Amino acid sequence: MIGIDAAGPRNAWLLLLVISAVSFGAAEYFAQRHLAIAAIMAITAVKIIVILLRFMDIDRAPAGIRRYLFGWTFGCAGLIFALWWAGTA
Amino acid sequence: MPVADLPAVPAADAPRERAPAIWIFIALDCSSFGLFFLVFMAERMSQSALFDDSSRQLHTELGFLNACILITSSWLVAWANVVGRKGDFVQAKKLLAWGMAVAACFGVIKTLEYYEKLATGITVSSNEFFMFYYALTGIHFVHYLVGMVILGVLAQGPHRYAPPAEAHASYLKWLEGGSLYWHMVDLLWIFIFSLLYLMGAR
Repeated sequence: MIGIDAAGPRNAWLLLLVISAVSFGAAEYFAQRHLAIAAIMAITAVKIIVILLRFMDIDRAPAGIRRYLFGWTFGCAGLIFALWWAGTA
Repeated sequence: MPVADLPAVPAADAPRERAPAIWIFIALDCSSFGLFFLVFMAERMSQSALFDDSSRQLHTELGFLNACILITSSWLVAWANVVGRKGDFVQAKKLLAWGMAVAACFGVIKTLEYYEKLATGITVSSNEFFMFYYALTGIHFVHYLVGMVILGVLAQGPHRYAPPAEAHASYLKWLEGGSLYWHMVDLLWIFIFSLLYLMGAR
């Protein structure tokens, strides 16, 4: 967010739109649900990391908060996928 | 050992570096949403067919459109920060206003979606999926409304009656905090969109 160059947020915005479209496509058209859900949750985690790094400039946040939010992102995405798998199997 | 070689020991009354309050708020808010997501998934385990069938009644395209809207609004707000840091507050105000205008579309779409669901008899008590749907999107919507008010205040620019140097420094601080809050609204929607709309799509 605070980077002095406007190109960083713009490139992040474009990337976010493209990968959002990919996850939408995966949900709608992937026949294999396990693969689709794995892709959706992986893309969700990537999108959040991009927002944290490029829009929120999390590098400026205290180290503890930074670690916690990265852990929260991957933890939530991983647990959601694991619980989906457990509920479907 | 010369005094200069001794390790520096902070004085007992020295101020300790503290995490800015906005980051603590974001961490706590994300935690509570995270718990909510896990409870949703735990409930889904016992009735996955019901959750998937209910999810198919949502408009995935509208959820996707709303995700794109919030991402675009977030980008405009991030851009406002970049120009604000360079001291161009006129451009920052314009970008914040555009960010709000784009984000207003989210509110319109979400309201239409609620209206359409309620008109077809789908309410909070229809089933467990829709109980979670209304709770998660409703709490998120409250966050969104608070964020819109914050953006509206920030779009007014620095305080006009304070000394410029003081007003600008204070404005940048509030701009950074308000923007962080707005980005959090965006990232929470990304999780909610995946959970409610994408997971049960065909």
